[in-house]
Amino acid sequence: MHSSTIIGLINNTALLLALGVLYDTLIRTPQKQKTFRELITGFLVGIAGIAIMMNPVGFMPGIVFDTRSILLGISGLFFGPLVTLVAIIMTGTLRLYQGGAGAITGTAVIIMSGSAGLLWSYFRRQKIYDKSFWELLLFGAFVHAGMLLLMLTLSREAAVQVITKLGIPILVIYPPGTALLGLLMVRRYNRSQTEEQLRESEYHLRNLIDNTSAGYFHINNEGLFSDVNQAWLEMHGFSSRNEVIGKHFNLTQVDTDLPMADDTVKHLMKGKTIASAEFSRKRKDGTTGYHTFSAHTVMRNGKPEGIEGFLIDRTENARLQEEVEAANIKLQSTIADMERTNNALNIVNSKLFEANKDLADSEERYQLLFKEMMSGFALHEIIQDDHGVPVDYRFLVVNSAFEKITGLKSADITGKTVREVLPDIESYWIERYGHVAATGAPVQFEDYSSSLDKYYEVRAYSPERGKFAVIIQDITARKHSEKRIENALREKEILLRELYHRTKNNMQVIQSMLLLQSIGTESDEVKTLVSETDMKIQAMSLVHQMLYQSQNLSSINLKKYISDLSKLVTESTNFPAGRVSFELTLIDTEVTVDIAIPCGLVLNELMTNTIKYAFPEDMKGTITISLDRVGEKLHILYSDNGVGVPENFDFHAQKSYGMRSIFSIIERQLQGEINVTTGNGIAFSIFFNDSHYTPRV
Amino acid sequence: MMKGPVKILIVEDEVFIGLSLEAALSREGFEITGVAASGDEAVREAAAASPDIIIMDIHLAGDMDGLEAAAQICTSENIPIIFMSGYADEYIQTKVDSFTPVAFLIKPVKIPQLIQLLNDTFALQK
Repeated sequence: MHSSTIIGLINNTALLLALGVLYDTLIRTPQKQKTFRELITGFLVGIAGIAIMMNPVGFMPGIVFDTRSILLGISGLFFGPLVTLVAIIMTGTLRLYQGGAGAITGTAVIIMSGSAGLLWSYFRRQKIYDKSFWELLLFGAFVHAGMLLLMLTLSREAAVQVITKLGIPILVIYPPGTALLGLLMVRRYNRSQTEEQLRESEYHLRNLIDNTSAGYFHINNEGLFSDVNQAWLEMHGFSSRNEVIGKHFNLTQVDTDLPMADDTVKHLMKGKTIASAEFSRKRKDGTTGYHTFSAHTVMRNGKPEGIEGFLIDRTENARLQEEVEAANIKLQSTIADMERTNNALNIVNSKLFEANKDLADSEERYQLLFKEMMSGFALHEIIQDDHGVPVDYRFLVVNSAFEKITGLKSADITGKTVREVLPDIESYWIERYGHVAATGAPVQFEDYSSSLDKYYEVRAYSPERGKFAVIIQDITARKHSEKRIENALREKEILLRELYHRTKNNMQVIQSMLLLQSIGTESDEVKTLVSETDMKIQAMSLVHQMLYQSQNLSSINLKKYISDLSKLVTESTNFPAGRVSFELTLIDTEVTVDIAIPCGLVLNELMTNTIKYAFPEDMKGTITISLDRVGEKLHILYSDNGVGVPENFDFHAQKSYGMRSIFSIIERQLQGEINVTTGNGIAFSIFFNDSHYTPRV
Repeated sequence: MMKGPVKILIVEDEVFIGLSLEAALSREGFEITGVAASGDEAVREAAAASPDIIIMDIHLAGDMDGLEAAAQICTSENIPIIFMSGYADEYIQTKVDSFTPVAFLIKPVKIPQLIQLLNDTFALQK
């Protein structure tokens, strides 16, 4: 081989190595500008190819050899279609321009080499870093075998010369060259990938350090801070790294911890390890914080270069722990309270259970009572008009007694209003119930329902506003009985009044008979007898007249009776008016007819005797009557200021009918006593028990 | 001026009461024109005898009581009336008052009181 050939090959090799540099540039170009990058790369590869073609190895006039086939083959294999196409166009154009016998063959070699690389890459579909030396060698052999075959396109003579003279060297030199260049490309690619990964890893690590909540620090082998992250600055109260970097780590040590911190750093600087531990720290403002400290030795070239590590802030944890401990104490106390409460609740619970059971029993009993109670029960809601006036009410629930008492069946009335059920109901029922539902004031009344033709005793109350409940009893039978009794009483009253009236009238008839019988007689004795009898009848008749006029028909007012009787006696006698006057001091008291008539007869007799005997000739006098109650007895004191009676006058021994009747009536009929006092006139003191007789009507 | 004795019509359904009144008043010089027992009889007697005064019981035999009889008599005759009755409730009192009677006596009528009343009434006219 000629020296010029060797120089040409060296030049070609240098140009091929330049391709490796170009590749480095290519893979670092941003991915976003891919097409532009590929055009540029294609242009550069084309330039490299042109440079290679400008340093050929001349074989014979018009036929040259260079390493363009290696360049374009590798381009197709590693750079892709666009880059290779650009390079093929540029180098192919140059070769055609150079002309000569091998112009077509040379251009064909260019196209074949690039295409072979593209086809190999396409069919193998391998990752770049997977391409081995042997595969690249095989690829080189394939490309250059193809190149030799293309030599057949030369003239027969030239082809024979090329193949015989250059066939072996080409097949021996060009495939390994192709393999070496390809291997160089693979390695450069792998290295660039590793560098990229390293850069990314470093980026992530820095990012992690900058953004972690743990404080990062790096101290060099002189004990000076060479790096801290933001979290560390915040934990220590610094605002900038400049305040810390280059300062001794003592800057953040609490004085009492300094010896231990020194020991720890020295220990680490010897390449030894420490376990994570709790440490305190001194903040810029002098306050103390707490953290968990972990660190390791940073080794470079097998020697300790410094230490780095992380601090995890425990200040808040410490505070929280205190709070947790306090809370724990509180919790224990609360648990104790809860246990006590629980015990109490258990007791209450068991009582509640019993009470619940009682309640259930009670409810059951009430349900039974509700069903079985004799009284009708019904719950209603009141219905009001726009002005709040009750106008109706609705049946909500009724018991069976209510159905029985009213004849209204629950199924027929529940949910309906009373005006729907009983259209003719008297409005006062609704008014009363409306008042109960509105005010909550319970009422009890008896009334008649014309709709149901029954009397009811009603107790109504309001269990909640707008509602009212009634408990009713049918009192129709009782009302009818009461009516009958009332009628009977009225009848009895009428009969009694009629009886008293007729008795009085009959007495008047008797008086008239006596008067008629006495007319025409000249006998004073008969006249006196008639007159005295008439007076007695009048005294009795007055009682009946008063009874007739009284309210209760069984008793009369004794005060009024004595007063009226005194006037009657005065009027009925022929005694001159004004000669006798009465002084009456009487209490109000009611007495029965059995007391009144005897009293009246006694007083009539006493008054008649006084008028007849006590005031002879023209003598004037006074009759004094007092009525009083002494204990359970009535006391009548009758006196006059007349001439009185002779000494030793024995009233009991008197044989006159009048005087005998006085003592008999008081002592025997009224079971009383009578005392007579004489002297200045005469006085009768009479005591008797007015409850001796009970009312007869 | 009165000529002759005072003529009195007694209206009383109780015969003995009527008779006793008649006897007592006759003895006092009054002229009893009759003793009627019913309202109808009283109206007829009053019209026939034209008494100077009528002593009228309210409760009478028959359908017409003393008040109704008095009402009928008063429509044609202006005869003074003394009413008498065994009882006097508010209703009767009001009715009696509407006639502006000479008196309203509660039975039993006391004869001396009645005589006094008659004498007083007619003394003014004598």
